Amino acid sequence: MSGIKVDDLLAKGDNEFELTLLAGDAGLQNRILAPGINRPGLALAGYMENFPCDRLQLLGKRELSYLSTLSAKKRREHLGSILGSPIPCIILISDASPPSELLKIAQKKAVPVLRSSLGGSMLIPQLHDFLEKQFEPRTSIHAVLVDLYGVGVLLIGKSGIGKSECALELISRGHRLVADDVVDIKLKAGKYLMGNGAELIRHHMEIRGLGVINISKLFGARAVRNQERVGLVVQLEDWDAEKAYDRIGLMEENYEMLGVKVPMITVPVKPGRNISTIIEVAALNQRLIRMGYHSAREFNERLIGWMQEEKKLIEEIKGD
Amino acid sequence: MIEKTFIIKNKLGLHARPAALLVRITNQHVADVYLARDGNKVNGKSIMGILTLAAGRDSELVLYVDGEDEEIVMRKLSELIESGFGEE
Repeated sequence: MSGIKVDDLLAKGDNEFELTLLAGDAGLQNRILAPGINRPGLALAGYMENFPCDRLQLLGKRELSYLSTLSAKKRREHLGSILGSPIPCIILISDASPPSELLKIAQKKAVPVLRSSLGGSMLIPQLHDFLEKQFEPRTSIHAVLVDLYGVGVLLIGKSGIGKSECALELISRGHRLVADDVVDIKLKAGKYLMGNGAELIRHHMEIRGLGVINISKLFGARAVRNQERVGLVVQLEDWDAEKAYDRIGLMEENYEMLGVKVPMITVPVKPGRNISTIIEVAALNQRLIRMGYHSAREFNERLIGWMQEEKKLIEEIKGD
Repeated sequence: MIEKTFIIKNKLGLHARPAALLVRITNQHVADVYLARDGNKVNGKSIMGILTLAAGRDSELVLYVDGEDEEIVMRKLSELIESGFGEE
């Protein structure tokens, strides 16, 4: 089932959110189904249209002082309809003291009421951060992720094509391994991709003939990174004499993951071609493009300019 | 060996994209291909060579094709050049 459990909030870090459970312990397995945080001001006033009951509900001193202005009957009624909705939990900020009706109804409806000693300005960003991370779209891909000059290069290609061997050579030249074989990809802020390795196999590689090796022990701390933004996809494939490879670099190929397009190049593998050097240069070229210089494009513009200049000269001579 | 003269028709001339299309054809065949313009002759399988010709619009280009599949290579190259490399 998707979403995260209310229990996970209490378990996060060493109770990082400084939460105490006041009531509704029977609902600790409730699921938070959306990453947002709702402050149910309108719902407290009795307006329940479009009430976002899938997310956690946050009450502060403002909401509680509003509740105290209501008649006991209204208060019970409004709290009843909020707690009667399938909300995951209620969090009180700044050590606020809830009215006794809230705790009573919450206990009955099995909705956990948690109180934090943190104020809203501290707690809300932390909660947001935590929830966003839990709800990030993710996928996993059979590839190797290396960091070359700060560009995360994802090597893909069929098994046995030499992705790991190629990565190993790059590491021995001073580049860094992020993940081998299984790369977990997460969509960050809805627009870029962050890759990291599964914790169990982190910084280990399997090289045919050597077996499993520990890169951080062999090459030291400089040879590894825990995560890196994917900036370039390099697809390795067997050299195919029939296939036309990019000879200029004006063709723009992309690789799509989680709805994000990442620039991709296809590098044919054949004895005598030093793939690691090609990939190293591809990463540098990608950096150059990011810095605003596109070698192939600039070169072509210069050439076209040259040809047009020459044509103009010829026409002038003819005209004279 | 066969030889044929062409006039470059597209606006931007024989720039990188058309050159890439050209070498794609020449590299698929065994026949040797040479391109000449104003006395400069380059290997038709080398993209950088072709670009040094800097053959702009209305310039004259001579193609030399030599080898067992020369007919088919010349036909494909003619189609490509005469179509203006698919550009305006």
